[in-house]
Amino acid sequence: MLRFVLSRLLSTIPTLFLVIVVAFAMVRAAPGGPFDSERALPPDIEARIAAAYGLDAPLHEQFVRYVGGLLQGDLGPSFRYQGTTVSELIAGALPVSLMVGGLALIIGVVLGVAVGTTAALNQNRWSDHVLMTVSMAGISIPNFVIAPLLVLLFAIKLQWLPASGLRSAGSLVLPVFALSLPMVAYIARLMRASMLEVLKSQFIRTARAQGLHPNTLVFRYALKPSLIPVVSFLGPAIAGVLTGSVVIEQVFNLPGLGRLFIQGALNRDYTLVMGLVILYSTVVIVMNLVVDLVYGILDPRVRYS
Amino acid sequence: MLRSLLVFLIVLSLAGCGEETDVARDVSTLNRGLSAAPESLDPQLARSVPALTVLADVYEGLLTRDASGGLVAGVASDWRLSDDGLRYEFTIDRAARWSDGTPVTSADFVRAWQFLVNPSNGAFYGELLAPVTGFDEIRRGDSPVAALGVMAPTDDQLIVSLTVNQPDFLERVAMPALAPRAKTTDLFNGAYVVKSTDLSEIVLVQNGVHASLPDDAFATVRYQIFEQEQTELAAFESGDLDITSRVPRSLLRNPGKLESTLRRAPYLGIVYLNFNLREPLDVRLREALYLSVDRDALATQVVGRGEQPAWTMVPAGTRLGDTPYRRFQLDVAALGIDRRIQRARELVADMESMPVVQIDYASNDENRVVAAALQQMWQTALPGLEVKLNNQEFRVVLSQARAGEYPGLVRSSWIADYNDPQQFLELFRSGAPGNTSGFANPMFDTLLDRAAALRFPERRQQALNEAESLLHESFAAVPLYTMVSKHLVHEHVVGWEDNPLDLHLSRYLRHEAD
Repeated sequence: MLRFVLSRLLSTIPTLFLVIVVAFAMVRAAPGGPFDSERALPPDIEARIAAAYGLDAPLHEQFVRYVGGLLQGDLGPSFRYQGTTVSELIAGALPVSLMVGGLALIIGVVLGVAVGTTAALNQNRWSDHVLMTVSMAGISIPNFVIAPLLVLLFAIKLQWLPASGLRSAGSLVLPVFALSLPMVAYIARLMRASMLEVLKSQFIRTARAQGLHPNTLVFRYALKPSLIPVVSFLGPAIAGVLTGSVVIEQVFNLPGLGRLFIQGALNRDYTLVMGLVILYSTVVIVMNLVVDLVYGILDPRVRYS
Repeated sequence: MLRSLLVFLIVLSLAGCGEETDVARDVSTLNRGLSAAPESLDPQLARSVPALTVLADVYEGLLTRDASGGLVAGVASDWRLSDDGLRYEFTIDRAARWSDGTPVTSADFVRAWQFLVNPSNGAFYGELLAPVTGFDEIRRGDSPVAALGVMAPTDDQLIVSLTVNQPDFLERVAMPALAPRAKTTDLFNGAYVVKSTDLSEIVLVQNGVHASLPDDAFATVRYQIFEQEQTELAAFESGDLDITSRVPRSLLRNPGKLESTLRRAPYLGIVYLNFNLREPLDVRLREALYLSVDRDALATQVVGRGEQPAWTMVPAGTRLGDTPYRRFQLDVAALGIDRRIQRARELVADMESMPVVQIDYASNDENRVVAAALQQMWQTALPGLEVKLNNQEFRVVLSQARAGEYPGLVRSSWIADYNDPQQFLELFRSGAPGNTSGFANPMFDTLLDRAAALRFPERRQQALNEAESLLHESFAAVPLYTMVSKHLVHEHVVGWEDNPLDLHLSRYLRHEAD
């Protein structure tokens, strides 16, 4: 198992390097630069600023210098926010995304699994149909429709909750709800399908024949293997949710990574965009590894070699 | 049992929410919207509108602005200009203090101004000090920054030597870039000090040692940053925000019950199209295009938020110091659109073929409708003409415009830093950084130089009018309309005065007493 983990970690190095090369090339290929503004700088002053950020060197030299900094854990200075490093920006935004994403994730998994299991156990009864219809709606209505509707209802009409920002626990309610909704719906559907399949399998039939209580049957024996598709979905989903939801953070004006990403791209804040791409791909790679390890816990047939 | 527990829980959660909104409605806090996070809060390095808005609250220059945007004494209690107009002597108010209680001295201004002109600091607003002696040599790298003509013989005396009479110099002095610079960056000399700052909000609290802060001023000013105008609007509607930084187009068309909070005022800004004069279209066609824009329809119906049709590059409301600037008047402005179209058709009648004309613009709501309207107007007025629209992201358009890489016209806009007509005409100086049309006329440049050095408004007026006329005859640009400042200001905030610079220092605002 340790060897498996180590070899997987080693294989991430070329993947990450490739990501860095492609991202670096793409960010620089975009027209316009970080110091462009409607108020143009005198050309000699602009050249001096560019030189101060090392932008006057040939591109390949800049790349070598950037990777050199990365190896020492330095993501570089932000090109937009003077006197601020990319690490500082990420350190400020990461907890916000982690909190909102983490809460949404917990709600998504707990509710999604519960709803999916309930629906599976009541297959083809009215409760199954109601739950699956609602979850279908949850999947198909995008975040950017749900979120403004929630703001309109709870923040503007009823004035129960703040419309935006992150100053009190109350301001977490709407974004977490909006973010967890599609997740609950998706997990519920996955869970229902896989639970139905597991319930039909041989070992469950055997257990049932031996006269086990239905609750024991479901919670002790059927639940674990049914979670496998949910876990595969969760790998990339966790990465996406924890590194910030672009839409939710924009609508609720949360100072998280998603909003940083958008602003970074629009402002041509080269180092900030690069830093976020690296962070995101690292999280994706790590989560995929975690998922593979969790398979082993859920399914005794999985072996690592 | 279970049901009553559920009801109890719901009631409890609602009660909790009620408390939260009460906290947000704290009357001692002013909640203002900002359209982007400031790139810097260093007065000498910042250049964006959001940054300048916050800086006006936390730093004060020799002169500052009153509630209506007029020039008033700031750190300087008095100033005198020598008879030849080349030497300013400012007297620093002895009561002026940094937020730690130490006095603001003339040396703090010398430090700031030397920092500003130092080419290695890359300060955008360095050009504000171009009329000060020594500036050119320092910028060329021939002299040290100490050669700048600004001296502090005593702690409360600042002497500035100019190379030319610069009639707008006091306007420049009121800019945040010319505010004093403390020895450390955590000191402020404005009515407020920065308490905390991140990418979502900037919190200011009163500067306890500031002399002229009224008793009923807000104790705290919270600038909340909204990149999305709809999000900002939602925050205003839910009561989280007292003043917005802008107003979405959709709301302006139909403000409904927000009508009473809507504040619109003429703004010293202009929207125009630049022709690319590096590969110019036929001058007859340029004039025809200039003539056949139905500016009234554009300003009142297409954008329709109080914008005024613009025929020249200088908006109405500009001033030459104490006197209003009389803009260069054009006969064609008085003609109806039908007569103008007729004249435009005559101009292009003997052109062999009509080229395809392309308008490049940055993607946004307003630009899109304006471009579509222009396309319609031009294709109808000039049969055979094909107008192509090309929209791209803001920075893409900007960098192509800068490089002169656009085939026909590019949508541009400009907002003045302070009230002077030259703010707009300098855009067309040969080789100026903002000169995207590539217009170059030595006569025009000379007129601008002359105007910049003339002290008497009448003479300046004449020189600038001549420059305006020269610019117009070259058809380097198509002015479209002048801008309007737009905010939502909650009724419980009083002291807000509309002004053409759209400057509203928080110290003049207060909560309406019940």
